[in-house]
Amino acid sequence: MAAISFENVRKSFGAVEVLKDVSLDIADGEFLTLLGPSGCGKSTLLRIVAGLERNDAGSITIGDRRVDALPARDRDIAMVFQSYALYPHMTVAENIGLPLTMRRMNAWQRLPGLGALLPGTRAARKSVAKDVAEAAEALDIGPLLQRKPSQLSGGQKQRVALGRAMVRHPAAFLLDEPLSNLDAKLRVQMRAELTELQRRLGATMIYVTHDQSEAMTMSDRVAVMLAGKLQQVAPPRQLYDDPETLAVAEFVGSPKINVLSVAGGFHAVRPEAMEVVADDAPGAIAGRIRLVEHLGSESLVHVEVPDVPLPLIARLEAMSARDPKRGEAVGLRPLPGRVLKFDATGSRIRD
Amino acid sequence: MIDANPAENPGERRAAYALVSPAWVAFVVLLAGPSLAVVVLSLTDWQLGAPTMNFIGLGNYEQLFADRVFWKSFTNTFVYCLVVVPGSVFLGLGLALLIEGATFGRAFYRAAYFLPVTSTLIAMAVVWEFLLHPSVGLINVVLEQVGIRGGDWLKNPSRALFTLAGIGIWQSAGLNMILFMAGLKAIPPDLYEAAEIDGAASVWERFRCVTWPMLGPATLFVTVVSGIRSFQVFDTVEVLTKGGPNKATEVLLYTMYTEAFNFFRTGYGAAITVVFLVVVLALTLLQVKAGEKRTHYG
Amino acid sequence: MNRRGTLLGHILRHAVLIFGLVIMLAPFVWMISTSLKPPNEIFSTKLSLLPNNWAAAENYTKAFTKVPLLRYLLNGVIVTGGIFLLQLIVSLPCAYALAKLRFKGRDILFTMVLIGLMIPAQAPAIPRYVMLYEVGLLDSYAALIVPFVFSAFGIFLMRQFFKTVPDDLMHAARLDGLGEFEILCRIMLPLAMPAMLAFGVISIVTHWNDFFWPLIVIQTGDLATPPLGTLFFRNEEAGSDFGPLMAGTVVITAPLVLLFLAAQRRFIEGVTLSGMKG
Repeated sequence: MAAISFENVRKSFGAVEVLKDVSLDIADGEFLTLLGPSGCGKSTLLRIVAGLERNDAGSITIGDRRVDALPARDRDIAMVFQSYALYPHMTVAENIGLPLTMRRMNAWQRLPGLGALLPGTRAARKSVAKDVAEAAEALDIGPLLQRKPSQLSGGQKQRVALGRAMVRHPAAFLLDEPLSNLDAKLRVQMRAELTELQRRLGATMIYVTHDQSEAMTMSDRVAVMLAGKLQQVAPPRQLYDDPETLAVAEFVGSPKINVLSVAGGFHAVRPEAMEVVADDAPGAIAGRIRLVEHLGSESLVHVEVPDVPLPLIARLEAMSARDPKRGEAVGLRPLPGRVLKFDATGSRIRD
Repeated sequence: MIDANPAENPGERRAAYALVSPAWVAFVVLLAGPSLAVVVLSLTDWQLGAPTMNFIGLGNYEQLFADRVFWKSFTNTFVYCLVVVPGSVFLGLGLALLIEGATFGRAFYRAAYFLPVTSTLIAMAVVWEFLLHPSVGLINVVLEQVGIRGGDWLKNPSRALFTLAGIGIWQSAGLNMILFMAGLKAIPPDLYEAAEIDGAASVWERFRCVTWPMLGPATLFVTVVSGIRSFQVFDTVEVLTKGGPNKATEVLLYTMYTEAFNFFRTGYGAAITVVFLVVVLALTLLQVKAGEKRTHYG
Repeated sequence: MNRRGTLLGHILRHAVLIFGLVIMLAPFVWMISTSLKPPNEIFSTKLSLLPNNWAAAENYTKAFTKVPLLRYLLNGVIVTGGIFLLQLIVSLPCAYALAKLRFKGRDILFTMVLIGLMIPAQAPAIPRYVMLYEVGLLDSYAALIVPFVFSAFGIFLMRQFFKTVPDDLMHAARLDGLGEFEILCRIMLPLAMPAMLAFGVISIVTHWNDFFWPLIVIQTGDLATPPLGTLFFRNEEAGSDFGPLMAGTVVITAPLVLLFLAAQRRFIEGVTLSGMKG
């Protein structure tokens, strides 16, 4: 396992600048999530670590090696792809074993037929088979080893892809939206399993996703990336409570944070920091309820306020004494100390 | 991935050059070089094995265009195409429509009509020679049964070229049929339903409103491909008529073959090749245009 | 298309198709029929499909002894097999690089391949002949095989196929430690089997049936390919001993026809892809 660091990494495709001066240090054994909307450059950054793309400028270090010039296979990195990228013509065992075969057997030993006659081939094959079986055991896919990928479910393919990454104990794991092809229920389950696995292996993982619930639940730290720029790198809790920029505040959190234009900048208030009060209460923003969403454990109250383009949203505990009705005139009031202030450029103003 | 940054990875580039180099060498030595050499040779008076080679400019072409045999050969090739192309295209289209519309036996018909395409043409030419035999050949024997005197198919100068064209149609109709079938498959079935709802009730009307317009680009493509193929007619001529009788079936490739490889007039043969190449390339450019059109329909 | 065809329509359709079939297949049927008949029946003007006196044994024996038919077939296998094998060795790496790797000159090279697709096989014949003459390779297997090692069609077809393989598969393989050549051999080739079969069908049919080139470069009977052998046989017989001649053509035609009947789908795929372009 190893630490990874980026220093002033830049990348353009033609005239399009995809990565604008990205610097980031990831600790050994850390689970770091790159979070951002599609097209923000997070996948490109991942591919640059892997060696599948070259950075135009800056440097990347894995452990104590600078790897910019190394081809993918010499970087000791494993990657799990969104499409799983399993080799369709190979069995599960062959898929998982391939990276080991490539490293433990020389070109002659790998030859079909002839290779079997060479000294050392048998021993190497045995050691590969043993490690494959071990990885399969850890991922609970032992009985599937002789199947082809086309005979597997999405979740099983996912595990095989993980197995192929795990089996050679790489310096770091790169995961590119690995859960987005799974159905919702399986996704939640795999989320927990992946975190569990990462803790057990003590592995450095870089995880790319556009799904903030994945980012918030799994990561040690989350790096929010917007339009090729790292906006903020922080633990999930801090990212939510204490965003550096208005963009991060708006991107993280669902429902979206309430933003109010004020002189010289913006005030932003999380829905759960909004109190529903009488429309004439002191300090309240008066409006009319447009929609109430009952989500069981909580309710979301959408309030239309004159001169504010989007309705403001307040989150009410289900147990709350209030039972707001559509069309009702109410006031919204931020809880004391829960207003986040930003200047006109979107930078945070701290008191 | 956006592919705007070629050659950005030195390792990848090295691997790529290693992988393409055998093909590149083979291309230069076996195809590009010889194809350009033909043009150069056509400007010389060289004969294979001769010690000297002189550039004579367009001399070969002047001689060629003054030669009655060349013009005969050129005209014959076009006449052959003008018979074979419409014949095999319409036959192919008709077969494709008839077979695709059938409720059973489609695979059987398709295979059977396709058989002449895969069979070795030279062997089948020998069979045709026997079928066309003036006295014991199947064709004349059958014609006799219905009271027609068949006569000689290959030795009659006014008929020989058309006989060869008939064999050409027999051989290539199945190919055009297959190409048309691919075109038919690409027509979305809901178009027929839409046409029916819009009042195109009869089979003919549906053909006129949907099939034919949708098949138009495919037809252009098939026609040009047939043109290119029939312009290359050679095998049946060499086996059945040797260009005769009295140059009645002399075609371009056959003239090129005799000049270059029987008389070893290399430069002159090269000039004929260039004429041949120019016509085929012109037809191919037409095909490229047809192909572009075809992609509009996915 | 014709979902509401009447009964009469069906009958008419099949009547036309069967009538056409009789004409299309008549040469094959008559070839086989004649190969079974003795001379007196061949030269009789009475039509009959099956002989009264079977002469199949005589005709076929004569066909195999008069000319080395098996030798021709073997030559056909050696030449078409040799050409296809070398075409694969040359085309596959190039097609992979054109489809999946980024390098300077890629577009130029691909344009060359497209131009190569347009050049008819007979165009470079004279210089190729001169080259073989100069190096003393006329009248040899090499003369039959080497000129066709570069296949623009093969490169084009395989490139189109490789383009459809997801990039991620290639990326995963690079991370797993495979070099480009190994990605080609271990990952791409197994996936490309269907496209290779279509290419194989076209290549084999084209070169098995090719007559123009063997006619030019081959003098020795022992090196004749099946079409050229057929011609030797015909000339030997002076076009009169039809029984053995037809037996010979049956033998020469059979391999490809059988191959076609066995692999119809691949044939039709390949042919549709290429417009029967060599």
